[in-house]
Amino acid sequence: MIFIDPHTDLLNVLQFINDFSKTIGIKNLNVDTQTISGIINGAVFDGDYSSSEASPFKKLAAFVAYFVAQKPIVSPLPLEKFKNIANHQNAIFALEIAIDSLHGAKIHRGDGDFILENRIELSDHSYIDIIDAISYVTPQDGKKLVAVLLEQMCYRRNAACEYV
Amino acid sequence: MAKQKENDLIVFDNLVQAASDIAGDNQPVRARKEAGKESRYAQENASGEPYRPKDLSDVKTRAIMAGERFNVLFTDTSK
Repeated sequence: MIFIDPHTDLLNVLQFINDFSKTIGIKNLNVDTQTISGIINGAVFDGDYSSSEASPFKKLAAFVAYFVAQKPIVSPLPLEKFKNIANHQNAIFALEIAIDSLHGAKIHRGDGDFILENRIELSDHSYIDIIDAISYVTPQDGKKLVAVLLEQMCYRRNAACEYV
Repeated sequence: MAKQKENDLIVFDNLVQAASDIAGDNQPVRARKEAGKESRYAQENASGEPYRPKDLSDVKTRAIMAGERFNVLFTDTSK
């Protein structure tokens, strides 16, 4: 849903946050739209992780890193509604956007293009651990681990798509 | 500055943002429907690209499905 053009990316991210938050029962989520635009720009032009060069895993790792570090979701989650998950709302929205963006993503390999047909699926236990692990990532530190994590989670469900 | 027509805008009905520097003074998030001038990011040398939704209703559908999965994992039904 991102890495298309600046305004389309912003609309797609806002639409996803709007409907994901509504579905999980959060009302009137407070967001910082200027920060979201900055996050998209930061990720798109982030060196080896940039839109023009990188794999979808690296692109989305950059997005996650900027999103988590810049915290555009101002409202906390209503924790009384959920069980066992810490209130890392920015990590949760970043991970959900990354997982959704990888569902149907294209992999360009020397022997052709492949589509990640199967969405990443996580148990509640894994989800909680991943949210905790990515909550302190920044664009300068930890991005590569996020890229590898996203890549391996995708290959677990789409083994034939692995880069060779 | 030209006045923005209401039907040129999308209103995100579950999002709010600060309306002023007064704490708690929020307004709904609105955005222009079309950018018009912005060019697409170059990706021809990339080793892949994320999913490209058909339109905003595609994004909406996928967001709702993601939210439903989240609810299955984390909604506390004991309360």
